[in-house]
Amino acid sequence: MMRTMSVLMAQSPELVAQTREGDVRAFTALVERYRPVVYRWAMALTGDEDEAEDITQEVFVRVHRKLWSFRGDGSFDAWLYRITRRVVLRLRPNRISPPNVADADLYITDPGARVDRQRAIALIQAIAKTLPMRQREVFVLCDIEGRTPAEVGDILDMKDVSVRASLFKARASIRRTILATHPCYQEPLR
Amino acid sequence: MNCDDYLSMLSTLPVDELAYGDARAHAATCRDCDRVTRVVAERERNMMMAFGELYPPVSAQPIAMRALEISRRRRVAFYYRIGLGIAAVVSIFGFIATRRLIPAGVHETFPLRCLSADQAIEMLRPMVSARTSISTRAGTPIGIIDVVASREDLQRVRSLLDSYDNASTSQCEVKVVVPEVKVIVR
Repeated sequence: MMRTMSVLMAQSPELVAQTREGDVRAFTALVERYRPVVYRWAMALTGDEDEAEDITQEVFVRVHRKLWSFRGDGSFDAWLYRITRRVVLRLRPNRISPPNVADADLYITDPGARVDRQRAIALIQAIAKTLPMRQREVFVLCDIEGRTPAEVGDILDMKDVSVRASLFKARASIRRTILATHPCYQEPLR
Repeated sequence: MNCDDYLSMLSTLPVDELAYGDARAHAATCRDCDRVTRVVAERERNMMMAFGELYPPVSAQPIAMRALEISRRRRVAFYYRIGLGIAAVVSIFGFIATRRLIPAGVHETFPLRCLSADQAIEMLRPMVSARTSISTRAGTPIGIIDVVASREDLQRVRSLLDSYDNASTSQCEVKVVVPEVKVIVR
């Protein structure tokens, strides 16, 4: 029991090192820790629950197989995100940018009430359908997960300026519906 | 700052960044901009909450176990592929080496007595292996063929030519008949 607890409390580099040595419990702990993160990324990139599940599974298969190649000089998150991205692009190369849906769908939320799972999924799907892949990634990593443009640039192998440009476009696209309710709004973004 | 400037900022900047300076002063005096800003902030907060609440339906244990199993299978498949690749390369090199080591064949020249060189080749070709080489010599007044073949094929060629290019057995030789000369003595 103590051993299990210590594994769960271990930091990512330790879990990575233990998994490399063949420790199944360490790998399970690694999956436990990063499973929601990978699933959310997959949801944001695909907008499809079933595909997100498949992608999550495939990502951890690759993590286990490629863990030897993780040098540890960058963050594990960034390495994991790149794997997730590759899996998404490999599994659904022709379906990255689905057709647009009405912008109004973007804010299906219930202010003041707890956002339930279905609404959350609908929200993520709306983002996935509205924004091109690059903008979607940048928006999710920066505005939803709270990473800095520099960190996101490192993860996506983009320049800081490009990250900011994509972020501006994504925000503009997402906020357009709300801004349109302002009396002075004349689509200044277009 | 007017509403257009404010909306332009709101369209691209994080809402937190509008809480300072001119933007803050404008929002404090403009009810419409303030309302839109609040709506944007609230909905983005809801979006973050929604995203944070997304959890995969399958727990970690089955994902990890399945990942280990698939990973193991792929590793085995990878080694199989490597093995097959090595075997294929070895086979190809082996085949090439064997062809080089085996002597190409024994050379023998056959002067023809009845058949022309073309006729002989036409007759012999179906009876010998594909590796056997049969060639003619241009410019010679009599039919000659050169055969490069294994000992077995060469034996077969000898036997065939013996049967079909033999003057005595095939009676292919053109006999020169000298007309009798009658001498009339008067």
